[in-house]
Amino acid sequence: MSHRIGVVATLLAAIAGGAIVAAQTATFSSRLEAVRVDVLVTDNGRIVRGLRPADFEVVDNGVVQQIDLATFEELPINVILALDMSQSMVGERLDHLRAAGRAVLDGLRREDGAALLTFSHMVRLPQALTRDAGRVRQALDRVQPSGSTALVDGVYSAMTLAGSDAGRDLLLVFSDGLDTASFLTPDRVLESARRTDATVYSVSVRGSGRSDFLQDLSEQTGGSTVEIASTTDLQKTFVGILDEFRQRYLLSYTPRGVSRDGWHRLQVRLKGRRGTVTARAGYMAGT
Amino acid sequence: MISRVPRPLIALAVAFQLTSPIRITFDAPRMERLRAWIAAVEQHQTGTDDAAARRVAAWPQAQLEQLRSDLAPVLTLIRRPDTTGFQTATATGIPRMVLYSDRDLEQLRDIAAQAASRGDANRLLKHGAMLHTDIALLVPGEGPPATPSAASFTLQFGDGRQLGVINASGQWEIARALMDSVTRPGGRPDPGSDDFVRRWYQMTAAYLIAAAQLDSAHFVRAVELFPRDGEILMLAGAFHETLASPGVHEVIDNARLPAGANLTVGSVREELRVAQDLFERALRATSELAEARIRLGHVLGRLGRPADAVEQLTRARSDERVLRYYAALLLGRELDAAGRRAEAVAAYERAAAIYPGAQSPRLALSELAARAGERTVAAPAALAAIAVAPDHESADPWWSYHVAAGRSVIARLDELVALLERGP
Repeated sequence: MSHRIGVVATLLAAIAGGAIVAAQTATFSSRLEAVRVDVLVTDNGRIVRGLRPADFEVVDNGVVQQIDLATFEELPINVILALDMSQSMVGERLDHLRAAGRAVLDGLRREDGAALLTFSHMVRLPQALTRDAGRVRQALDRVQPSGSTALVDGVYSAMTLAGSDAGRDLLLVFSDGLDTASFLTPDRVLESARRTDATVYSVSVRGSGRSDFLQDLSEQTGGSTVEIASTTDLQKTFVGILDEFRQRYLLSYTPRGVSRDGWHRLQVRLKGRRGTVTARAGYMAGT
Repeated sequence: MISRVPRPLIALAVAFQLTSPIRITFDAPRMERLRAWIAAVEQHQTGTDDAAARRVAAWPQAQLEQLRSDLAPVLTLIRRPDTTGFQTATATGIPRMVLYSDRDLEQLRDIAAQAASRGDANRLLKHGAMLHTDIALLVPGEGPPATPSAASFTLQFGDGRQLGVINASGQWEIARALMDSVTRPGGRPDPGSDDFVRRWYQMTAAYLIAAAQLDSAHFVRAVELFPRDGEILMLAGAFHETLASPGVHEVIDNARLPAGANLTVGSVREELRVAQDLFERALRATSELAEARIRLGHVLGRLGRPADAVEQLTRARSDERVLRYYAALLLGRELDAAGRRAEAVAAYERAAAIYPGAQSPRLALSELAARAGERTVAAPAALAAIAVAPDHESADPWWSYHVAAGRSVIARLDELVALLERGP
């Protein structure tokens, strides 16, 4: 979902063109929708810090926009863990996944939130979004693998947990295999993802079958896909993702000069600086 | 393709083969195995994994293969007790004469006479096939790791990954071979005209689908023998539909097999087209077969033909709850693909009403709303879908869609056992 900040504009109406008969007021409510873009800036693989709004240029459907805000490490984050809990996760992989999940929870600050969603053939929400990391940790200890893998159903459900007004949303997806059970189709869910503000980072195990869906989703939301050889280093991978996410900028602007509805293609560039910008490809607005 | 060969040459070849007989000698264990098999067939209580079934289950595949050829003279002697001429099929398809020693022939006549005292050759073949069917269905056993020399092997997989490759047990092969020898009364082998064989293929095909055992030879033979049986065509279509499913096709595509072995599976599109053809044939044979219509709708949708899929799914009529659910659920998806959103919502709501604990239609309703920008609808709907996440596996029949075509296996097995007990 595109995050919207409602701005109530109060208009004082005056009757012009002659003598003022009486002073009247009329209040109109107008929603100016702020667009938020989560951005990662790197230079030769190293994260660039300390940039300001003036260092960025955002182009929305070909029209340069005025950036209102560029924050860095200031807003709380919501980490939504969407974890594969299918039969293939039994044993060592589950231990590694639990350890990696715990490490992410350990890295959260008091103002951050977290949720745990799991998917096998069915989607479960062992813990909804909360600021109490301990509850998520307990839920993580309780989950048990079984069944097949409904990756697309699980990722879609996780995306619907994002979009709270407070903070930025990191959707961290882990799967060790192919989708074998979803009802939802990848193309439709990718279309829905055009409306999310969440950034999707996905981790998959090499040799378990390539998931174009996860790759496309991560690219579309400005995140990235990590392919690991085994789950032995999963903890390091998860913590690395959390660190990288914290060092992203959140740009905010109110679109001007572009149509209200439909697909908005986004380009985010640096002005007068060298670096690589990773951001979502665009967003869908309106109905 | 058959190449043209002058007729006299063919006649000469046949004559040569018939005049150059094969001499077969039974050693004591081989003759004893033949007796033991016939005894096991008679002792076996159909539909159980009794001691007789377990004894035969322990025989290695090579012995089962030999049994197939050793049974041929017994069947001939049951049908024509006074015969002295025996033939065996060869790889060229041209029969060759077989000679047995007087001693072996005497024992074979004795075995045949004992078997004939209980019934005709077809009875022995059908009871024998059921013995091996029961072993395949009911006797747990793990074959050895597959070897390059194996006649056939089984690829084991689960949750979208290969778990192993083992030598096939040979039970299905011998059961099919026995059924292939069923004759019309007094006639030549003609299993395609036998009602028991037809029901046996219906039951076993349903079982193989329900157990996710993808034995292509079984479905090929079933369709060869019964090309106008709606049930068999539908089950064969469901088999190819499963081969085209993501969790199966990917595994087969990337399977690690014994050297020289290969799997004859087409691309996803090819398998879907084969499935489509079989479902259409099933409907031509039995137009009221709702499941064939629903599966045809699913396949057409996967082939990118939502309008055709909608037509089939709309026409599917069934009193069976699970079929009404599949029809509504899949119709929702195809209506959405066809751009008919309001109707898609209605179809999904119908599916959700049929199985209130099912996640799939609720997630689909949420996703439809999300795509339309209705976040205030989408998020609560998704949460509601997750909240219904039940503990029992049958809550959402979508989870078992690819094995559901085999759900009638128990009823079919009971029917088959009753038919066998009733006799000819």
